[in-house]
This record gives sequence, structure tokens and C-alpha cells, in this order.
Amino acid sequence: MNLKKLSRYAIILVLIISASVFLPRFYHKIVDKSTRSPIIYYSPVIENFAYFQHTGGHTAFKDGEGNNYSRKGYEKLLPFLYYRDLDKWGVLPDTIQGVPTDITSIRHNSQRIRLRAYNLDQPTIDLYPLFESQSDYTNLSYPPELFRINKRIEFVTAHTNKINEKMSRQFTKDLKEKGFEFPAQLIAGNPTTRKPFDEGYFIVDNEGNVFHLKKVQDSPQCVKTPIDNNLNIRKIVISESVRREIYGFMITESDDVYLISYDNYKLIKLPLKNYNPDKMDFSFYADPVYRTIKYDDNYNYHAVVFDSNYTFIDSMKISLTPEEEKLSTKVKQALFPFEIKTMKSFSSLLHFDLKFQSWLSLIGILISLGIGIFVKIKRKENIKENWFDFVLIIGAGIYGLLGVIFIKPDIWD
Amino acid sequence: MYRSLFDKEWLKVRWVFLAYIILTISVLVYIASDLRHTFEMKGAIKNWLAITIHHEMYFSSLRYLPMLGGFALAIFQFVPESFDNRFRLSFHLPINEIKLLLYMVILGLGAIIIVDLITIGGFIAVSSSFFPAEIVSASYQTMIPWFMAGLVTYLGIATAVVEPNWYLRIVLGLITYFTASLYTQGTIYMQYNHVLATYAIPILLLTITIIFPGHRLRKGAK
Repeated sequence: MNLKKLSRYAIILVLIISASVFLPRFYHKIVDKSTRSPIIYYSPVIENFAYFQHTGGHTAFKDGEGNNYSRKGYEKLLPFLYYRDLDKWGVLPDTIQGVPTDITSIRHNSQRIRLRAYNLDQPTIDLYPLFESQSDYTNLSYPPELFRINKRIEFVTAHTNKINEKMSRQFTKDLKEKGFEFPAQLIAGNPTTRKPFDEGYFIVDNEGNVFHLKKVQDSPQCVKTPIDNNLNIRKIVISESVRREIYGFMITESDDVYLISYDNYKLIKLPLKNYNPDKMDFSFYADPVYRTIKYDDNYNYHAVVFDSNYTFIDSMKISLTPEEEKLSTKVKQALFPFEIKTMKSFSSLLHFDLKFQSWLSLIGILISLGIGIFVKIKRKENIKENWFDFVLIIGAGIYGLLGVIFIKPDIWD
Repeated sequence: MYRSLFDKEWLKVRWVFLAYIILTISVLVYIASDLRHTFEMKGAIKNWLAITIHHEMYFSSLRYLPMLGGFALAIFQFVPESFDNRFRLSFHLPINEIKLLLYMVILGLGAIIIVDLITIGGFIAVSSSFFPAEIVSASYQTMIPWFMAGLVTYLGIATAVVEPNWYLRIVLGLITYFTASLYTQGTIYMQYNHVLATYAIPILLLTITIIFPGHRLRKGAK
């Protein structure tokens, strides 16, 4: 094949690449419908699940047995969640299962932590603010420096863009004395001032040991936790709450989830079936009586409920129609033999993933081939000399067809 | 022969090349003054945290600059040749038409890469006085796909300009637009890092696309 022909095919290939990114995207913009995710909770009133889901223009409120409720009836099932509405209607009970239900008590005994799958592969800029954990003031304020951990811990003052040597030496010395092996494998904290107090950072050292580092009155306070160093921790999520029951949770490389308790960092393993951190969003919700874990991949919605001692009570799963079974997906598979996905639901990164569709694509390929032959005969093109055009249509279906029709072959030397 | 061709290309693009460098330096000066201003008004730490936590891009004014530069260079380098049949005069030179076109493209790419290097060098110099190494490094890594978008725009628009048929020119322009937009989708830092090699594939393909319209032009296609 000469360079002139190669050049034409290079243009067609670039067209195929662009079309396989944008045409399926355009198709989705036209046909996509909301997946109508169900929102599941556990009711302390009926001791069963209660959920709502938008369907066909209205919202259905149901319990785990399938009984229907009005919106008010549904909210009455979940007093720990809708206490403000119930209080307004004058129907907030004084106690539920012996637990007082005044608004302050509910607020102080509720906690939510979320982890979205895309947080797992999000690129990080490894500089972190270490708050003063025992400030004289109520509100937290940002420190003047950020820290990094390489061969030692270094604090860089933002105002001067220079390393604060005194602080860096002091914290490095303390970490080493506690047995910290540099560098760090993982640094996890909650770098926001919108929290009631600060619990500093959980840092996994080079040997897998987990250290808890805080700044107290400008000095380091470091604890080597008893957490097993063979857990292969992948992610730690910290969320300070006045409940002071758990620091947060962690996920291991084997997809196990552990809560990190205030009881000397004791780990509570959560028995979660089919949880895939890379493809599912996760949430922890504690109310004064129950602990509910929810995770979903946009089609399968799981909820698992525990009592306050993390003894399993019940679980529920609601499955929506899988993407593959929808008519719009089948039409897409017939139209497009493959697509290049640059964005994915559960990833924060950009990709270039070639995703082949199903055998249904043969329909689109055959139709494209038919149109291709017809057009070429009509245009009186030299089919023998440009046989590779048909290879492109067979390989790339509608994209290949667009390519060979738009970029017509020329008279070659 | 190549030396004369180089001189001819230089005469065509020197002003736009210079304007592109001046524009790049102006944007870098703007970024530096904007940083000084926000550091003064909001304080340094808030600016640092806006980047490390919220992935704010203080250099977003550079996002489309390489595309603009690529577009302008392709227009200034190839439009004078494509009209009044001047290219057909060049095709009578004692040099193969493919070699001639590729040589012109290499010169154009060289000009773009020189400005890209000036941009990165200037950007690192500006950023380093405000930010620690982690932020500077994350920032210029984030900009790499934008430079790639500049190469795509230059190569695609050069192909479109050389193409003699207006209808095909529009098709080639659209292909260029959509392909280049693949490189400017990023909303957070370093989103492309793990796929940069794959994103280089369309650029490699585009390095030879100019041959086809060049051949059509020589043949007198309409």
C-alpha cells in the first residue's frame, strides 16, 4: 500500500476514533432515561426496610414487604431521618425503642459517611493541612502550612513557599520514635474546617503499620495503632463526628471493609456481600438505634442493617433493569459495533477504553456493508483497488461506512 | 533545497510564530499577576488548598492556547500555498511532493514544540515561586494533553487547508475539532496521565494525513 493510500486510511481511522467516542455519547444524550434509584432506610417503627423510588412521574413509598405508604406515612416510619417534619406536625414520639427522640439527641447520635467509587482512583496532590486538634477556639482554622511525607515529614509554609525546618524535624523525630518507617504508603484525613473537631491523619507507613498523627498545641501527638500491618489497606476514610464511635472506615485490597472504632482502634469488619469498591458507591449511616450500610452500582441497590453492636439484623437488595436488557441498549449495540469510552461512571480518570458490543452489532455491520457496496457501485469507484474500504466497514460498522463515504478514494498512481 | 524551503516557510510563519510566543508570554504574565493578586487577597494557604483539595486550575487560561496556536500556524503556513495554485508550482520543484509536504509539517510541528517548551519553561518558573514542587509538577502534567490538542489542531487544519474540495475541508475540519476536543476534557489534575500513550495514537495517524489532500491537489481534484 502506498503512502497516499495510507494517508487516506489514516484520515479514516482518526474519523473512526472520534466517531466511536462521540456518536454513542450523542446517542445516549437522545435516549437516556433516569435510572430512578431507590433510596433505602431501615425503620425503627416497623423494624423493616422502608424506601422510596421515583417511577413513571410519581414517587412510590414502600416498606420491605411491599406495602405502599403516603409521603407522610413514609416519613413517620423514619423518625430519626424526618424528625423536623414530624416535630412540625407534632407527631414526633418521645422515645423509640427506649431511645429519647428529642432533636438534639437525634442530631448528636446520627452520622453519615460516603465513599464514591471515583474517589478511589482520583489523582491526588500529596500535600495535606494538619489542623490544631486542641485549639482554644471553637471553629477550626486552616494551618499556615501543608505537609508532605517522603524520606521524612516536611511542613511547607504557604506564605513563604519554604520548608518549616523546626516543625519538620520535630514531627519527623516523633514519628521515628514511635517506630514509623518512611516513606508513607497512604495518608488519610478529612481536610475541611466544616467538622466539629479534628482527628488528624491516619498514615500507613512503609511497613503497613497504621499511625494516628495529630497536632496538639503545636506539638506532634502520634500513636502507633494496633491495626494489623498485613491488611493491605487501599483507602481510609476519616469523618469526625460528635458520636465518637468510629474514626471512619477502611477498605483493603481484598475489598473488605472495616470500621475503625474509638475503642483503641479496634476494627469492626462489615460482612458485605458482592461489594465492589471500584464499581459501587458506599455509604455508612448511623442513627440512634441502627447502623445502615448501603452500596450500589446504579442497578443493584444493597442495604445492610446492624444494631449498635454491629450484629447483623437484616439486608435488602433492589435490582433495576440491567442496562443490557433495555431496548435502547440493544438498538445501540446494533448501531455501533464498539465504542471508545473516555469517561466512566465510577472513575474520576479519563480513559480510552475500547468496548465491543454484542453479536447484535452484526446487524449494523451488514447494513453498513450493504450501503457501502451500493454507494461505491453508484459512484463507480474502483472496488478492486480499494478493497480495504470493506475491511474497514466490516471492522468498524457505521464508523467505517462514514469514513469511506466521506473520504472518497482517489485515482492512485 | 531544504534550506530554501526552510526560508520560504519561515517567511510565511515568522509573524504568527512571534505573535504566538508573545501571546503565550502574555498569558504567563497574566497567570503570575493573577496569582500575586489572589495570594494577596485570599492568602497563600487558601490558594494552595483550593488546588490540593478542590483541584482548581489556576492555569486554565492556557487550556485552549495550544489549539489556537496550532490553528493559526496551520492557516498561515498552508493557506498561501493552497490558493492561486501556488502549491502546484511547489510541486514542480525537484523534490517529491510527499517529502515536501512532510518537511513543511515537520517545520510547523517544530515551531509548535518550541512554543510548547517556552510555555512549560515559563510556567514552571512562574509556578515555582508560588507553589511547592507537588503542585507545579501536577500542573504541567495536567497541561500535557492541551499541548497534544495543539498538535492535533495543527495537523488536522493543515490537512483541511491543503484539501482542494470545500465539502471535504469542512468534514476534515469537523474531524479535527472533535479529535482535538478529546484532549481538553479534563476537569481535575492529572486525569490523562495513565493514558497519554494511547492518546498519542491519533496524533501519529495525523502526521501523514496531509499526503492524501496533497496528492488530490496535485492531481487537480475539485
